[in-house]
Amino acid sequence: MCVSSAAGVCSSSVEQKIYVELNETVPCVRLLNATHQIGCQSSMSGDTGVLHVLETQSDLDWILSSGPHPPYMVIMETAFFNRSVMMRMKNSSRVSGVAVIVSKTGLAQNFSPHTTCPNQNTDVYSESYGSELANCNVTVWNPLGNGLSYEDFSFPVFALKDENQTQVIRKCYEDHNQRVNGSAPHYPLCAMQLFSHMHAVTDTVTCMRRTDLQNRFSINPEVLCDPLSDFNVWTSTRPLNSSAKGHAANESVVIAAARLDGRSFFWEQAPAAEGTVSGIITLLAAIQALYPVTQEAPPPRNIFFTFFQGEAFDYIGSSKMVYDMEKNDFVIDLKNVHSILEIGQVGLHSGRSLWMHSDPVSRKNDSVNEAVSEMMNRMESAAAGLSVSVGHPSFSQPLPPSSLQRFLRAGPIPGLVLADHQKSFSNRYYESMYDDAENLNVTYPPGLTPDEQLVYETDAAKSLAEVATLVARSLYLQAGGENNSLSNITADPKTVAQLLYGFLVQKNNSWFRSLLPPEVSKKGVNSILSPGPPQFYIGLGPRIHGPVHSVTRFVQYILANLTGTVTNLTESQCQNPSELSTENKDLFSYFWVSGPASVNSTGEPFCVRASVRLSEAVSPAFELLEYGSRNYSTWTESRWKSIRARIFLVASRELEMLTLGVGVAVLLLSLLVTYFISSKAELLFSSARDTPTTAY
Amino acid sequence: MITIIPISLQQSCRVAVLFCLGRWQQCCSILISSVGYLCMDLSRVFFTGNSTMNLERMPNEEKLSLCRRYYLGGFAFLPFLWLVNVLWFFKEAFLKPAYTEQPQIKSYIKKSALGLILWVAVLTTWITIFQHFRARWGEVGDYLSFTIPLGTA
Repeated sequence: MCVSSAAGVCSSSVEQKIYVELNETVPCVRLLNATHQIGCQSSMSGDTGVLHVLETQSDLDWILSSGPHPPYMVIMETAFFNRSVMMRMKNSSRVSGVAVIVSKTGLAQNFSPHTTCPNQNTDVYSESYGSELANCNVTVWNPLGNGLSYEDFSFPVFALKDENQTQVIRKCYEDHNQRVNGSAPHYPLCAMQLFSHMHAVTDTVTCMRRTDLQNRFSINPEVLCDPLSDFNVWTSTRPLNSSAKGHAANESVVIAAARLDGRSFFWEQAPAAEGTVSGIITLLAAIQALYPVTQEAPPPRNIFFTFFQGEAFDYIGSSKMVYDMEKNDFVIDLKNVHSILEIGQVGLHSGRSLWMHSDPVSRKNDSVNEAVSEMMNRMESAAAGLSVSVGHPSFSQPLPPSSLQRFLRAGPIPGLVLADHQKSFSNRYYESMYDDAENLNVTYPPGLTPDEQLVYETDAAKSLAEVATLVARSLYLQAGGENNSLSNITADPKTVAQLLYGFLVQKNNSWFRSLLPPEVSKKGVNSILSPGPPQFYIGLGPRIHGPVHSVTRFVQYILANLTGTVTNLTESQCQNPSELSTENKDLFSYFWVSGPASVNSTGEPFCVRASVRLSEAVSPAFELLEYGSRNYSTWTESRWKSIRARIFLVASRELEMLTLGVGVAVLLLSLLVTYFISSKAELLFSSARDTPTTAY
Repeated sequence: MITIIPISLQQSCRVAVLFCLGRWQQCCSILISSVGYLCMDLSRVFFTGNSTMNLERMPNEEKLSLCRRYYLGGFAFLPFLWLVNVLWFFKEAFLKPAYTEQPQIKSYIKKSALGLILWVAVLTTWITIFQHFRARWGEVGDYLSFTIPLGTA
C-alpha cells in the first residue's frame, strides 16, 4: 500500500501509522583512547523501553525498583542529569536508555561533565617533572567536574533539544503512561526506541588493529573508528617561508596561542563560550590591534600567533606542532622560540584582575626565571593604563591545563598563561552544553534585528576588548617593541562585538558571509553557515567529513581579513598565484572572498593575500603508529550506521505471545487440513462421470 | 594508510603463523561445507531413486569400491564424506541379508562412524573454546577470526 506524502515521495503508510520519527535528536557517541572506551552504546537493532518521565524522586524509585513494566526509557528532566542519578541508571538493568531534556529550567548552579583534572595524563607534570604537582595534587582545576563524559554507558543517551519534539513525547506519555492514583498504567503503553550502535570497542589499539585486518584481508573492508583530527591555524607578523622547514635563521619568535575546540557529553555539541571562545576572540582582537603597528614600527622579534585544535582531547594540536618542531618539519623549531604567551579562559573576570600562571619547575632555572619575571613585568606595565589589572598566583602553583605544557615537555621555555581564575576555574559549566552566550553574560536587548545585534557592544565585548588590548601591548613589549608606540595599540570593541555575535549567537551573519568565499556563502542548509552558533567539537577532519571544520575556516578567513591586504588579482590568478612573479606562494596564502554585501547587490568578490596558514592537527601517535602511546593523544571516534529515535505504542507481553500462539496454531491447523484433504483427494473430488479407463 | 609494522622478526613470524592458521581454518571450513553440499546433493539423488547412483541396481563390487572411495576420501579433512558414507550404506551394511562384500562394507562404515564422531568432538570443543575466549585473547583472537562482530568485544 503506497500513499504519496506532500513531498511526492512514496512511503509505507502502515509504518507511518505506527512510528513517529524523532528528527531533532543529539546522541552520545563512543570515543576510545589507548586504554579505555567512553560514551554510550546501544544494541544493533536499537534499545526499546517504556517511556517514563523523571521529574521527582518517586519517579526514580518507580524506574529503578517498583515499576511493573521494565525496561524503561527514561525522559530525564534537566535537574536530574547529574552523576548520582546516571550512575544508578548505569548499574540498573531496568533502564534501556535515557533521553535528557536540555533546557535552562531546573539547571543546577554548576554542571561540568568533564573530569576534575583535565588532561592529567598528557600534561607536563609527571613522576620525573614536578611529581608533587602531578595529578592535581596541589590545585584541582575543575572541582565541579563530575566526570560523566568519561564514563562508559551500555545504553544510549540522547539529548532532546527541540521543545516541540519534547512536547510530542510528553503528550504520548501523558495519554498512555501516566499513573492514575498511584496504580500502574495499563497496556498499550508509549515506548521509545533509540538507535546508536557503535562499531568500535575496547580501545584504540583494538579498533585500529581490526580496521587494518578488515581492510587488508577481508572481502568486506570496514573502518571501525577514525582518529580525531583537524587543522591548527597560524600566522605571523613577519611572513615565514613555508617551504623552508626546520630552524629558521635569525628568527626569534614570541608565540601567542589560544585553543580552538571544546566538547560536551553529547556528540558535536560544544558551545564552549568561556572555555574557548573568550580566548579565540581575545587573540583575534589582539592581532587586529597589533598588526598595523608591527608593520609601521616592526619590533625586533617576530610574533607567531597560533590557534590549536583538539586541546580538549589530550592536546592534539599542540603536541603535533611540538612534534613537527622537534622533527624539523615546521617553519620554525624550538630553538627559535623566545617565549610563549597563552590566552586561557578570560571571559569571566568582570572587573577583577587577570592572573598570569607560570610553571614553577622550569623557573627553578635562573635564566628561565628571569625571563618569566621580565615577561610578567612587561605585562604589568602594559596593564598600567587600562582598567584591567594583572596579578600572579603563588609561585608554587602549577600551570593550569594549557598548550604551554606540551612545549615545556620539549624543553624549558619561558611562558605565561593568562586566565581569569587564580586557583580553580571560574567557569561553572566547563566543557558542557551550558557554556554558552548566557554563561559569558552576552545578552542583547529585545527588539534588535540580527544586523543590529551584530554590532551591538555588550559589556562582555567591552571587557574582552580591554583584555585584548592588554595582550596586544604585552606582546609588543615582549617582542622588543618601544614603549612609545604602545598607545596606538588598542583593540576595537566593535570587532569584538561582531566576533562575539558570530561565535556565540549566529554564525550566518553578514560579516562572516562577507569574509568567506562566494560558494560557501551561497550554499544552503548543509554548509558551514547553517543557522545558530558554531559548535567547537574537533570532529574527524576533511578526509571523512567534507571540507575543513567550520570554526577552523572562520578563524582562517577572519585572520585573512584582519591581517591581509587586498590585491587586484582575478579569480583564476588567486587560485594559481605562482604564475605571477610579483606574488609569492611560499610567504603568503591567497583567498578569494565574497566581499561586503550591500542592500542591492551581493558584493564584489576579491582576492586577499595574507600569511595565514593551516597546519595539520592529528596526534603524532597515529603517525608513529603507536596506538597505545602514553605520551600522545590516542583519541578516536567510533563509526556507526544510523542514529535515530522513534516512539510508538507497545502491547503487553501476554498479547504478543497470544498473537504468536494463535498464528502458530493456525499454521498447524492449515497443515493438518491440507494433509487430510490431500490424502482423501479421490474421495472428496471424484467426478460424477465414471470413466476410469479414459486417459487424459 | 594504516598498516601493521611488526617490531621484530619473532613477532612477524608469530603474526604470519596465526594468520596462516586462521586462513587454513577458513579454507578447511569452506572446503568441508562445499564438499558436504555436493555430497548432500548426491544423497538426495539417491533418495529420489531416479539416477544411476541408485544402489539397488549396482553390483556389489561397485558398492564396495564406492564405499571405500568415500572412506578414503574422508581422510582429506572431509568428515562430510564419512557422514554420507554412514547414512548411505547403513542399510546395505546392517539391514540387508549377508553377501560376500558386506563384512568389508561393514568395517568401512564402522571406521567412518568413528572418524565422524572424532571430528564432531574436536570441532565442537574448538568452536566452544573459540567463541568463549575470543574476546579475551585480544590480538590472537582477531587474527584467527574471519568476521569480527561490530560493537561487541
